[in-house]
Amino acid sequence: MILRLACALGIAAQLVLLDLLLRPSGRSAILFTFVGSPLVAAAVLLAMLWALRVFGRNRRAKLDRGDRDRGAGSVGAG
Amino acid sequence: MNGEDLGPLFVRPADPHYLWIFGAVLAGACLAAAAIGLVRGRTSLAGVSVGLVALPLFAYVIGYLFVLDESKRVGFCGSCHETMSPIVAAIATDTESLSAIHWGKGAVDHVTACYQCHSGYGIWGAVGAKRAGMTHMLHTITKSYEFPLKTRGPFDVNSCLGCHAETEAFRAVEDHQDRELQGAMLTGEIGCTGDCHPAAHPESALNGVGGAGAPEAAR
Repeated sequence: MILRLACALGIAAQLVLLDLLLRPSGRSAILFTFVGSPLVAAAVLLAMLWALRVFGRNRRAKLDRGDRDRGAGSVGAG
Repeated sequence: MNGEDLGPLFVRPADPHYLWIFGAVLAGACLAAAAIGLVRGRTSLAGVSVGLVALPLFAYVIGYLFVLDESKRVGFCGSCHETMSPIVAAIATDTESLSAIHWGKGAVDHVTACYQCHSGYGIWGAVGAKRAGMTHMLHTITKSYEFPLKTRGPFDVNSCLGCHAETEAFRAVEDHQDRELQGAMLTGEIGCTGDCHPAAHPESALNGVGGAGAPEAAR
């Protein structure tokens, strides 16, 4: 859900940027500054939040697997 | 008369800049990455780091560089229809205002004329112009422009002196050699326009598009 929201915000932000690049005017500059920039900031923050959560989950899974392997090893040795 | 009507000698040499193409390619890549993430609902850590964090931020840096450069153009200033377009239209159609005189003589670059006079002198002049541009944006959003338009504080006389101070004609004028007058000008007490030189822009152009006497080209 977080990733999808980040992607949606990112798409909106890039469309605002494209509008500025293809039709530069006062209106598109105002949109870029006051709408696009907050959108891209929110998208990047959400993407980083998603990445941190996935990274944390992977790390926990690796630790759990290590614990299990150690546990299995000690049982075998006994 | 339009330069193109007079022949190729009068056409301004092409000065393309490709920053917008680079920005558009980056934005396209970001759009593709975000669309894949949106449809699939999952992606790799590397995909997120590049496609949703690094590239979008870089694309926006390019966007800011683009807008810093693009906002120097006369067409960009005139694109705020309600407020600025009568002033920009008057530069080319008026004959008496200081801006029109400079425009007609080619004393200012026809691409960046507004920025050239209103940016002040040196690097801090450019910083001040960008800060002023932000306040223009805020005024446009909040619709808080007051007509007739006025400059905030005295016009930076160094903008004029940057070009004029070293010319023989300017130095030869007796009034310009008056130390008292020089002091008053440098402290912002008096400006170039008013008693000595004509107003920078015609009064009719300072009332917005709907104002009385706004040039027809701006409507």
